[in-house]
Amino acid sequence: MSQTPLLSLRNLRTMFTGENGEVVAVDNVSFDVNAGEIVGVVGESGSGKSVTALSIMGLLPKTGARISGGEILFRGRDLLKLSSREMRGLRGREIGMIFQEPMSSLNPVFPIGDQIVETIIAHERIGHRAASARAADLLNRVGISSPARRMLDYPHQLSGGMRQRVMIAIALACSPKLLLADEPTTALDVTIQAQLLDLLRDIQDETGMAIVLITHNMGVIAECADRVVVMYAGRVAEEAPVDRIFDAPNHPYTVGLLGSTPDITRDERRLWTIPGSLPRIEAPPSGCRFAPRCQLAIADCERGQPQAVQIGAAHWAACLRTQDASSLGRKT
Amino acid sequence: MRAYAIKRILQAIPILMLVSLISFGIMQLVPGDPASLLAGPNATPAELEQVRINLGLDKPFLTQLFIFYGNLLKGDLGHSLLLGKPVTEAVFERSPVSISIALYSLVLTVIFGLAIGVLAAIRHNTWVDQIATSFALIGVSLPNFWLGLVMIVVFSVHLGLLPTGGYVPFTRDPMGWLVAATMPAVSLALMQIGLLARLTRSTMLEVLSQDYIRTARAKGLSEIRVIAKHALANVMIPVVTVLGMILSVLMSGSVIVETVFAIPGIGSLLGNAILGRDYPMIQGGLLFVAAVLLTLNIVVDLLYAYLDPRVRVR
Repeated sequence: MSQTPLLSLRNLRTMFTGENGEVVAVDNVSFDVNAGEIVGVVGESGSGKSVTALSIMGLLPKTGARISGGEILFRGRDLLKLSSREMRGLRGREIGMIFQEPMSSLNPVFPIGDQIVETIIAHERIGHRAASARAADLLNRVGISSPARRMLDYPHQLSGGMRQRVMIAIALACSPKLLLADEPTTALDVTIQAQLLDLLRDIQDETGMAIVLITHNMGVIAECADRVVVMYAGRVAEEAPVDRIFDAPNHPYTVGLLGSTPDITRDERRLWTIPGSLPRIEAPPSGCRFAPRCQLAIADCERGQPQAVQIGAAHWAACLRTQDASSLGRKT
Repeated sequence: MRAYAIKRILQAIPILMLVSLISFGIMQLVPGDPASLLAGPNATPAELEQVRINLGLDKPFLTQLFIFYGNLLKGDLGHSLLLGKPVTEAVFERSPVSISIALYSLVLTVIFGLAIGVLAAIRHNTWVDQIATSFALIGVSLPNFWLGLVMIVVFSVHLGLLPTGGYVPFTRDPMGWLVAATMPAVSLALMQIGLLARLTRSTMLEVLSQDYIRTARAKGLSEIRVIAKHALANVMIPVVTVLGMILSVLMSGSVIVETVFAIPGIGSLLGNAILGRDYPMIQGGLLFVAAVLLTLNIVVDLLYAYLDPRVRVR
């Protein structure tokens, strides 16, 4: 790849202080996001997806969490080396973020218009009136009708889907280069989910910004993402273009994840599940973290963290048995 | 918002009726015969009868009630037995004293209570937090009359900075008022500062963990703006709710502090009335204090609705 990526995570390591010392929540995570691309980050709850996003934003809790290693290169600059002031200038301006909980992510005591306007004013030399006009445009853009009147509404007067649209409007306020969307549709019902994903894709088409779409939903990935990063227990298990992930998964975890996605075209009475659960973060397995749940695990799997193996163009999997995993994928 | 305000004001009327009924009841419920209590043990039957007629106690109950409300509507609360002047006059002479000191304490409480609480919360688990919480605990634990006496000893007797007591009306001499009212206001306020600081700290800690604070940070707002705008606006909601209660305490707690500092306020007026069995004065004073507190609570409720848009809808 000749172009330099917009965002590049290099061996990111984020630690949390638990009751019995420090635990590693994100371990050696590396992936790139190119300009104008939608990268899906998928994994089950506790796999480190959200922590990765918060690490990029510099929004980890001030006490009890720290980034202990690696680099976060955004347009060539290491975000971990920026001062908190520089980081603040970047947040909301060059990197926008939307969250999982639309019901609680807006401040209940301020009108929504005000919450968009203040974002614009925080980053640009612009008059209040011009900022208001832009906020109305943004609301219109995210599909909220009669925006001028809606701007005076308080969050409790809007539905969850509407609030998430407002959150998107806030994130887009300063035309960021990168949008981090952390489970943006999880809390919403299915029809609204589809509308919002369409909206995100439309906006991405128009503006050419890059999106990191964090989700645990394979359907969302299939619908939106260009490339997929599969995370398991704080590590990247597999990274591949979206069609490769679905057609030729090479990590047993990816295979399991796909197998446990409900599919109405398959005639099964029970949903297949991956046996066991995520390892406890305080005491991760010494080797491959998926080994205890993996049906292909061999003795070597327990002996050390498997290195990422290149399988094809832009396709890597951190597994010793990628060959067998791909055949496993064809079986299910 | 206007409908809400009108509703709140209309709700106050039955409460005021009830309070007036209770204060009327005082005269009826005095153990024994209020007239004989007032006239003293050596009164002749003729004098006793005269006292009864003066107080209207010779008339039937309902007639008395009717007269009471009639006078109330005319703004006539009767005549003080001890002071020899109308109750309303005495109340209006004394009330500015108490109200001005209570408001002064309130201002101190809000400024210091909020500042200490916010500071402790944003410096959670540091030495700042520990000093602030210890101070709040001390404030809550010290009785205000004791604090008043200690302050008199330190600032008046030893340092000679402030007068031991007395009162100067604000309208006559604002500086003199400030000098005279500071120690009483501080001794009244300290406990409330402690309470408010603790409430503010815990509320602020809770608010700071909310998702919308994370959103505010993700928007790239400065930390000052996140705290002073987004967090504080939400902290103020429970704070304003307790301000009504704090004001009631400041008004009624002044009885003791007014005694310590020899301030001619409504507290000492009522205290003396109770000791001297000046029933019309007690009645009128109670009614007045209740009306003031009710008004303040309406103001607090309206402020609450102003701060929290979710309340306005109701």
